[in-house]
Amino acid sequence: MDNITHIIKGCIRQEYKYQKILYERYLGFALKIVFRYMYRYEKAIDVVHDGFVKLFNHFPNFKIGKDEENEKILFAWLKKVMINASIDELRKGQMMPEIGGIPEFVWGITDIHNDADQQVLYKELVTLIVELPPAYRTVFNLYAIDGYSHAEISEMLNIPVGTSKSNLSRARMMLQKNIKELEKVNLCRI
Amino acid sequence: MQDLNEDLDDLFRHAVDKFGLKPVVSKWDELSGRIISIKRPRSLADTIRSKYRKWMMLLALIILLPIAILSLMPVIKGYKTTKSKAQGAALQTEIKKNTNEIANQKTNTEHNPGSKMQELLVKPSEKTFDKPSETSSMKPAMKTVVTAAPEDIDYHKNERLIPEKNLAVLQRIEIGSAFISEAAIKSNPVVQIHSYDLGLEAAYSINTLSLFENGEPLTLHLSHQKNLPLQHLDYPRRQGFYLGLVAGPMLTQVKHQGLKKSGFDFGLLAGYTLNKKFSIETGLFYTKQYYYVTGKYYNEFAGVNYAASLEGSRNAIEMPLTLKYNIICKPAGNFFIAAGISSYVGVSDKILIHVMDSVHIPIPNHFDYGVTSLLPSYINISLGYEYKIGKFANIRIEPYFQIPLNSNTGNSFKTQNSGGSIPVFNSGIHIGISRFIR
Repeated sequence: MDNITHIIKGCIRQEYKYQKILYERYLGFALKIVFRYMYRYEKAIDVVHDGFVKLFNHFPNFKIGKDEENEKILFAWLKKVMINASIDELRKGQMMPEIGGIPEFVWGITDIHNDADQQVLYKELVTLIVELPPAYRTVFNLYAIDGYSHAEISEMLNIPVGTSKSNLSRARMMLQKNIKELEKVNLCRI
Repeated sequence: MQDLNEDLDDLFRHAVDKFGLKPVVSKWDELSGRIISIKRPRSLADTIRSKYRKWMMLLALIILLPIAILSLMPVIKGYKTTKSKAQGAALQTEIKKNTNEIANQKTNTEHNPGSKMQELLVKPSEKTFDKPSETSSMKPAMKTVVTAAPEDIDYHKNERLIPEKNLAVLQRIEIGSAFISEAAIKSNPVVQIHSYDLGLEAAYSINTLSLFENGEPLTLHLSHQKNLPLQHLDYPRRQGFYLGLVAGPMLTQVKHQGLKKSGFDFGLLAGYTLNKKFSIETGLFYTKQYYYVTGKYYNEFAGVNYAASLEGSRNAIEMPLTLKYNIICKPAGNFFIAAGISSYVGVSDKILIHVMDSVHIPIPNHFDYGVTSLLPSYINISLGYEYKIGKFANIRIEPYFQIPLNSNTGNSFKTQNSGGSIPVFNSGIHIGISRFIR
């Protein structure tokens, strides 16, 4: 398999072969990021593709570093591009809440070392995030998961810092409440 | 509270890190079409497009410019042509009517053998109509004759108006089995004959004419009238000599060595039309050619190691001999192909060799080379179009290329050391005008 620096250099040269390798290697990673923001699996795939188009069109601007750092830099950049693409898409929908549940077929198993219970737990926790209202979900994802500050979030979403904080607070409250409900359901099952 | 939030965030962070999603099917082909600056594997067409873009643009310009000029010519003639077409159509309708009438009259004659033989009389003083469009007001018996003055009548370019007293053409006309003698016609000039057949490329005479003998109208029997053969009026000319002037850009290339500069040629063209399809052509052209050779190619060919590149210019006189074949013959013009040979005489080359920077020894980097041979130097192949701009003249556009034959005959240049010669290929476009000689 090609070395990541080699792939990056190929993508900087806008070469078809290396762009395809990079796309196929990081498609799953990108989808996991976007899915947290987008709620709908099919929509998330579209957004991922939009993100890749932007990524490849701007790849000549990529500042290549040392071999061991290049993958991290690429990850960070890819993540940022995918988050921005998700936010753009959410803005198009004016952050309107989605209707309907998440179908079961979208879930898969990524880590064979995790047991089935843990997989279910992860799935339910992610579902809790995804089912948050778009405004809360976006702020929670940006702050709690992706590590952005309130100042950065306010700039990205074009909202006041106070709004960002309050949205985060409400998102956490909703999540706590939903976790408790989830625990009750799980206890009942037992 | 702060710790609780952090624990909650950690929990979700862990879940987000570990959760699994259904694998996505790669849609790379769909995606790649949206990437603007993607570098795909280059196709041959892309390579040709990028490498020869300038030349292709020049070629397109050269081809399109004459076409634009030619297409504007009908607009300039617009009113007259439109009018004459309408008149032609009206006249043709009239002839059909007349033919029917003649047939009817003949039938009547056959049914009434005792009756006086039906005759078609033409009175010289009687002006049937001044313009063909006025035919609708004519009396049926007089429809066959048009006696307007030639200058009053417009006619289509595919029709032929025989001018007053144009006896040369009339000498050919046969009426049934009878033949109108030259003397009779000379003493009795025909006012005019209209001839048209819009569906054909050439004009034909019709069986309508008015002849006068001693100031009296000449009588034509209907049986003769019926059998009047259609006579070709010699337009366009099927046989004969023609001369022309031709010029155009000329591209000269040594095998895959690229082009630096465009040359040109111009000269006199002479031809003979054998029949509707075939012609033989020759000519005398002055050509100025420029060619270029990379140092690597020249060094390998000449067995040297000092050349960085080579630039040559050539003056020569070209004498082609080609056979031209009209693939498509239309009233407006002909598409043709031509093939033949060319000899180059008085070939004078000036060759400049750019020497590599690393070479310090004095090397003669400039030399002249000349050859004169009447032997054929090239095979010529061309494909072109001739647009008729009058009764006898054509404008032609003819892209061509020339493949070198044996060397030392003006199709190559010699290397200094090895004594070998490098073949030179030519291509270009001839744009010119030609005219039949009466």
